[in-house]
Amino acid sequence: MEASNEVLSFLQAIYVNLGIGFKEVFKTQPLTIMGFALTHVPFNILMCLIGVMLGTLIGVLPGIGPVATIAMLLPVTFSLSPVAALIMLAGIYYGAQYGGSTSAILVNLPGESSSVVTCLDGYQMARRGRAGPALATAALGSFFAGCVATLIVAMFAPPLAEVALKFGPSEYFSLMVLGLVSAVVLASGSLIKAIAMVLLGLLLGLVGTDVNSGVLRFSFGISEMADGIGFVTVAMGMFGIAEIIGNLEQKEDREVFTSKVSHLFPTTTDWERIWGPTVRGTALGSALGILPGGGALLSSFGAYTVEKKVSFNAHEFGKGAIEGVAAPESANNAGAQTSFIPLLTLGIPGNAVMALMIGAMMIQGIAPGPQVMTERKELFWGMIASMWVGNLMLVVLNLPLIGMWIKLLTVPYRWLYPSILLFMAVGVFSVSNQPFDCFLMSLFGLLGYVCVKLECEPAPMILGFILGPLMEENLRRAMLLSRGDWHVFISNEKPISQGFLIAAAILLAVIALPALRKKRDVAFSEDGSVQQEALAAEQAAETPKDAVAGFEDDGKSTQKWNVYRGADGNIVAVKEGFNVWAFLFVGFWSLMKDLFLTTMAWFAAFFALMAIGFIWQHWSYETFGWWAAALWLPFGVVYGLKANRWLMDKYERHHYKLVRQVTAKNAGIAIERGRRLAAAAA
Amino acid sequence: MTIRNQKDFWAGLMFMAFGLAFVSIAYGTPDFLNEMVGRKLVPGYQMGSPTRMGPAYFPVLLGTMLAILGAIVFFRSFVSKIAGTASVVKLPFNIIDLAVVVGVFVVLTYAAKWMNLSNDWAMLGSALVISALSIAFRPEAKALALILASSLAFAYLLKPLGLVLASIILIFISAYGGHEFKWKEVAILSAILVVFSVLVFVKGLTLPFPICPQFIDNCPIR
Amino acid sequence: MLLALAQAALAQPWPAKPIRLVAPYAAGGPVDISARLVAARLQEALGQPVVVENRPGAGGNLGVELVAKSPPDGYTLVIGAIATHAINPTLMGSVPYDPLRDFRHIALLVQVPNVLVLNNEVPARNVPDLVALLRKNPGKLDFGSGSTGSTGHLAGELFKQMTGTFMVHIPYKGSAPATLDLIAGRVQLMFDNLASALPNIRAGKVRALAVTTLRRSSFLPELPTLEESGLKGFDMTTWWGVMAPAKTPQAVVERLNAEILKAIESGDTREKLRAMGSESPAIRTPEQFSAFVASELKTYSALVKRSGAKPD
Repeated sequence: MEASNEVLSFLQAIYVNLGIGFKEVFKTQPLTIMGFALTHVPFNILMCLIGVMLGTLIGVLPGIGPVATIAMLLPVTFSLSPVAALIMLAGIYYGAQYGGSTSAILVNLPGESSSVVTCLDGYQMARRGRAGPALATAALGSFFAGCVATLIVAMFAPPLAEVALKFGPSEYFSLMVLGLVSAVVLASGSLIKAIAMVLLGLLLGLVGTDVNSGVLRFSFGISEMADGIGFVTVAMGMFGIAEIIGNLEQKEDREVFTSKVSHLFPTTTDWERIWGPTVRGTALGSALGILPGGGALLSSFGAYTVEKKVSFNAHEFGKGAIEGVAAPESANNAGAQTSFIPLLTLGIPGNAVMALMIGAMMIQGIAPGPQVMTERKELFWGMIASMWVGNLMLVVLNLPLIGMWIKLLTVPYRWLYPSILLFMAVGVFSVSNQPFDCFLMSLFGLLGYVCVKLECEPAPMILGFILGPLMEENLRRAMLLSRGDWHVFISNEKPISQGFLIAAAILLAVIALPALRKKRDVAFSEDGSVQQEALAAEQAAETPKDAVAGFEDDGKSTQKWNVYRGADGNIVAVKEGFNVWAFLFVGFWSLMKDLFLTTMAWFAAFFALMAIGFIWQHWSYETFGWWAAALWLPFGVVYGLKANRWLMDKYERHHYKLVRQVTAKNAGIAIERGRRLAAAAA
Repeated sequence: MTIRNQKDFWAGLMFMAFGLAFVSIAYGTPDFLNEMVGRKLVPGYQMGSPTRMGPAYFPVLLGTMLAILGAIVFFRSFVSKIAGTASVVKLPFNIIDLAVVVGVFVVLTYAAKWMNLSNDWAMLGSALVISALSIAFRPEAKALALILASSLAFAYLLKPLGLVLASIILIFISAYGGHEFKWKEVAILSAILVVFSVLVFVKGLTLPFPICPQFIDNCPIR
Repeated sequence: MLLALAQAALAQPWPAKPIRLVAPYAAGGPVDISARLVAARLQEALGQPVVVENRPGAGGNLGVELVAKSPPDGYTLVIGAIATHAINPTLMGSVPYDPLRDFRHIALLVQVPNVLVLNNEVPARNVPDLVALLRKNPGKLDFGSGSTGSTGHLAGELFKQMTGTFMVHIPYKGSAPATLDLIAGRVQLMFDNLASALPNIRAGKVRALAVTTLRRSSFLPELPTLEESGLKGFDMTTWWGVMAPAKTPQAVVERLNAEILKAIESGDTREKLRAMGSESPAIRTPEQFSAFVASELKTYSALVKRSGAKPD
């Protein structure tokens, strides 16, 4: 019973604290504006509104980021109360995340490192006249993520801060290796070229002063390069300039946007496609955002990778898949919220913006650290409450704006591109007020243009560029701490690091295998009769003689598979019989398979149980555990039995056709066999 | 040996060039080369040991990997199965043009140094010369050259000429790089954009940009 | 013509136009914040805007160089710090200015002691304990710092030298990630800036052993100094102050000195500077400040040379 009291008092404390927070946010105070003495001005909420609006504006303007803006606004916060100042600055930060996605989707300009991924599919959607749904998806996905992540910050900030402490140099290095491997997935073309681009990005990221020794590297004696090349410079060049030049080279003026803007909001099919990516993106973003050493950076890249591997619309990625907007947008917003955890609980800033927030606290005479949470309750909880309010404001502000943005796209391109170019130049120049950055932007524009022509994709390079210095720093530190022992990354004493590296290896294998297979397909389709003959011979040798019509038995294994083929040639295999994974993981399995109703049913049941147990019945953890097990068992059995049927239904709904039933040892073999059968049939 | 995939051929070369450049700057030139010249061509940085990695360690590691991958891509281009129109590179300039462009920058930089002018003028001059060259000799590269030149011109003219004039110059040059250039339209566009950027960037976001040219003492807009 | 203008400018009582205060570090850092706090006060006192301009780059040298080459008319000032005026000249081999001859040192703004902090798991309750532990395990312990050549690093090097012990220096990118690893126990000790260490000391997340100044700090009066703990003459502070180009008129320098001292001692600003760990500096006149910079330059150039913390 003691445990139940603990849980209860925990929930009670959060309730009370959130109360303090919301009270602080909605507090009114007398204020004199232009001679009018007003008695009840909701000042904090006003600052929040100003913050998110300003954030949206600078997010949309390429190059001018939240770091520069917050730095410029620091003096303004002198005269504000600490709560109002921090609420406004935080509003700028997550407002910029919203705005950043807008320019990424509309004109292929990633103003923030987190919106690089949004460019990939968001811009393609815009080119197909689907800018509206893309923007709406970004806004709603961000809102959902913001709400969930705020709740997580409110409930679990102190224990989660402990997680940040578990991450040392070796863990960060391994995490970055995993991140870079996932960067390769961003590319839709050649695997080897994508890896080479990642390496090129890593190398470019090393330009500037070396942290450990202070040596200037690759700077050619140019003092402007002593602090390295700015992210904005590279991103504007590789994406923005290269895109403009590419568009201008086409024979006629590009008016693709104007022709077929059909609707502004996502369709029913879109909704079905975005809810899963949003939930998964939120989960991943919330988890990675906690890590102060570049975790939030990886979240949007990671979320995209997960979707590309999980979604059965994988072939659409890079050509305007709505999942490719929903997942990274929700991940980066969730990460933006949870990156406040190390700041608020440990006083450790996770990124440049957080470092400025520390500055803002110091201006107010507050020493940021563990005490803030207990000694300045109104500040801590006021900020958390303001995040939720701010997210709501953003979505209310941004949804009506979509119509305006779409209008903007109907402006002829010959007017649009000089404007974009001017904004980029101003943004890049403003980063450190020197013309040399614009020169570098032009250089990267040329490089980006050449890369597009050579089919080398810039997105993996950008990720490499961001992670390069972090990776080197952590590698060197880890090796120094371990006195030169490479085992520090894989030893059993470092399970987290080990886990990341294993995950990276598995991911690399998963990426490499389809790539190899695809190459065979390409060889098959594009070149020469020789291959075709060889393949036919191979097939003849492998196809069992006693094949029955509609069913194939390899004679060795007993596991039956239903092989489906999509309208686009994508082939999937669904097992017959009991699905162990669905039995074990129930709701999470459904989530990974994008089965909406079953996911919701399970989570609803789970939360209902929690609500009943903790609020009305005063259960202990133990009783709850028993009830949870009792709930899981029937769900698991039902899900295990029905799972494969649901999957097949889902494929059929999406116009997949049953090719044949086969027996095979595992899914890979089944798919391979199905592929051959489909090819032979065609 | 025929190049069956031009894209891979050039991409491979590019990766190898970048990889080797990074390795040679970080590691320094190899000893035999230094002996041939009689002095250290590129001094390089310290390699250090795996325990205490020097500034050269990581770049050399990565650069080598990049060069190897580049070589694989390069050689693959000779044996590739994918041949045909998809693998042809269509660039509006060739490698000689690129060398000319680099040459213009180098020559003008030295000229500026010799004439005791700031390097900014060399950059501006190069932008001008390259735009003129491309309009005269490489009309197909006009968009490329003018877009890049316009942002260069803006950057190096912003401090002496102020935001208003620099913006107008950027808009006119870049608009000239497009398909159709109607000067009335461009004039209206630049008027709108100048007002917008003065209001938003200088007044709103308080970026420390001069609005007016340096030589005007009493600027009407402040 | 130029001369006439300069004379005209001199004829007017200083200040006749806005004053530029260059902060050679990024906005939001402690140097920037203190600059802005003081600028706001100066603005009231002088009746002219005092504009803080951030010119980060090359460890602060970029902004300092800019001011060293500006006209000495009292309208361009800079925040010179221990890094730019005592450490960098030796650490970086050469800097494009002379820290003594190119500047008039006007007033010291902030002086923050470093604190020797330990991870809670390390079995040492005081400095002699720690020295004994280090003697028993040479090279087993690590100390973190914000960067190579920071005061935290050099304090560690001086400590090693004076006690004849050995530990490994682990450089970080700023003191925040180093603190994180200190709390988690991946590095065992650190000579951290008092301001950033204080919250964690008070929360019991790390253990403080001593301060690096000759006097005890008023923030932790029970904490001994390193000198009391047996390291004779151990004295290190992080400091920064307002400087102007050399040949700035004496009247301007004196006026500025008086106003700045008034500013940093006025109630509100005093409190905010105290939140950054700064005590009231004992150095008051421009001459004292110059002598202080000269002695610091000497101390640190010797220390940097001996520590081997030099770019190769």
